[in-house]
Amino acid sequence: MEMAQILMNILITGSLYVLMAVGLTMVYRILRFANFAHAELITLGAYVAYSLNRAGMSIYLTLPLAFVASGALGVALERGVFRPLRERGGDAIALMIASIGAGMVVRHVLQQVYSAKVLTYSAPLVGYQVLGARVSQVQVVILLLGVASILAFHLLLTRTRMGKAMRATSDNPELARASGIPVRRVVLATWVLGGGIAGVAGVLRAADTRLVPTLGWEVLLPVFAVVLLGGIGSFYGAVAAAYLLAAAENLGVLLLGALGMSTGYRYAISFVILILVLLFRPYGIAGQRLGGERE
Amino acid sequence: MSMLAYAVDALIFINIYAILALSLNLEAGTARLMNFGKVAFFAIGAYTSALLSLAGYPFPLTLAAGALLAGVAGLGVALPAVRLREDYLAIASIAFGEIIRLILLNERWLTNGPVGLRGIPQPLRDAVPDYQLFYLALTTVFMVGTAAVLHILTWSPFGRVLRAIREDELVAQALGKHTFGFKARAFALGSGIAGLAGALFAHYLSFISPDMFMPTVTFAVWTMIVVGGRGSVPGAVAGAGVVVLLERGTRVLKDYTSLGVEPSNLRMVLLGLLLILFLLYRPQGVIREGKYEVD
Repeated sequence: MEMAQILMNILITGSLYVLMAVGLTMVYRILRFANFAHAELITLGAYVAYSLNRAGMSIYLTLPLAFVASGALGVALERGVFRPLRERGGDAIALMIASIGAGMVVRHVLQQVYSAKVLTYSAPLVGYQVLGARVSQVQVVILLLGVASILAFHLLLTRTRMGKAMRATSDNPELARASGIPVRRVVLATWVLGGGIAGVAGVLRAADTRLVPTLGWEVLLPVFAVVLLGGIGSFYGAVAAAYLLAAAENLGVLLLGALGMSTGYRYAISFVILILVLLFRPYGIAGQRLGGERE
Repeated sequence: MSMLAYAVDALIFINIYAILALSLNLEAGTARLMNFGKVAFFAIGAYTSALLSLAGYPFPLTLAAGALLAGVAGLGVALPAVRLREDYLAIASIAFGEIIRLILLNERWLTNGPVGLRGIPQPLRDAVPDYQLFYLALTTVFMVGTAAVLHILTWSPFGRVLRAIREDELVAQALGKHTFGFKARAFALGSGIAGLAGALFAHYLSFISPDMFMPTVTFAVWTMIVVGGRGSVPGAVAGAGVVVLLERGTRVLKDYTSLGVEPSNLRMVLLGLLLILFLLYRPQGVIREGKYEVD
């Protein structure tokens, strides 16, 4: 494969990782638990888009509706499971186990409704040549939305009151509440935004590959690798980590081939990186240890 | 299958899963070691015993080798990983489990890849009149033996240190306990017991393949100890009973009613709901952990 194509693939994979990691890293930081149901926020958006697409809607027009559906699921999980559990004194591990349970429920409800069959959207199969690399129309949209969301998030976090409130809440929820920041609203906004973007990413990934009930679950561990490599709660760290991990995966596959190992191990690349980050640099590439936080 | 054979089959599975749940209960219930890669050690025990058995070695030896190798693998994971923060250990161990599954899928020369291993010898197959009843007796002996050993261990000075680590590791260290060593030993022992369960599983089915060792197995075992009561030895056995009977129930429902719901989906939805409802409304589980009496 030529260099241009490899670079393009890295940019495409990395942009999808950015979209998928934003919500996970924000929830992990603000609510301080690893949300395994994030996988199903990704998957739900993709299935909602499938129904709308079957009814004749262009796959690109379904994106805002997938955002709404996955954002709503995030809010529903917060209201129905995570907030009640926190109020009953559930710790980070209880929340994590509950999120695994919630993910199982959503995934298998979707599998019951849509079956476990491999589904595809009807979308125009248009391709372009960009600087010597082949790119499909969906992949162009992935690249554009990746860049747009990075810019939008940067502006949100630095220029708006909600963004500042989010940063304050993720730094220290108690202090934020004491300063009059409506923490509950900030948390709900985090679920809407993070969940919504995950749903959009789900549609794009399904359009780029195929749609199955395990769509989100398959990428969850790589997305965790992005979140931890970037430093939990760090948006800019996650952006850098997303493209780094994408590069490691795309170049790693070539290395596997050169070493004569099965390319079936390409999924293991991100798992190994995830484990190494947890063992040696759990506060990420950019982050620093928080005061009083155990390794 | 006759009614009796069906009941005996269910009981054998309850025994095997109870051994697995007991091992997770030692790690996660007694010592708060959040092992979410349980299925990896179950798989190592199953494949080790199956491969040695296919190579002609006798059952007692292959069973011991399966447990031993799983225990050694557990120690190998524990040495770098037990010092990790709880949620990091959880994520790292899931990733480890997925790496093991990828190895089972890709190292065809050893594991026969996705096709799996067939014709795994069953001990004393031709020597006993009713094989199922014999295997029920065999697994009952192992299950009761494991429960007895873990009961004694839990209420021994060793178990007392594990519970002290669970409640407050710093205090345990301040009292002069080498907590790292205790945690590593608990993890290795739990992994060895999971390997034993895996070996019993492989020889009963006489067929294993990588897709039997998905992360959902780990989540089912977690459901057993959350439902049964974390830290409680009888609770782990009761939890295994509940989860296996639930699985059988959904299958019976499919056979005798026209519900139109895929039993595997119904089962996973119910497991997810059980997890959430128990964490919310009965976090101590069905059977609360006993109290240590000072006499």
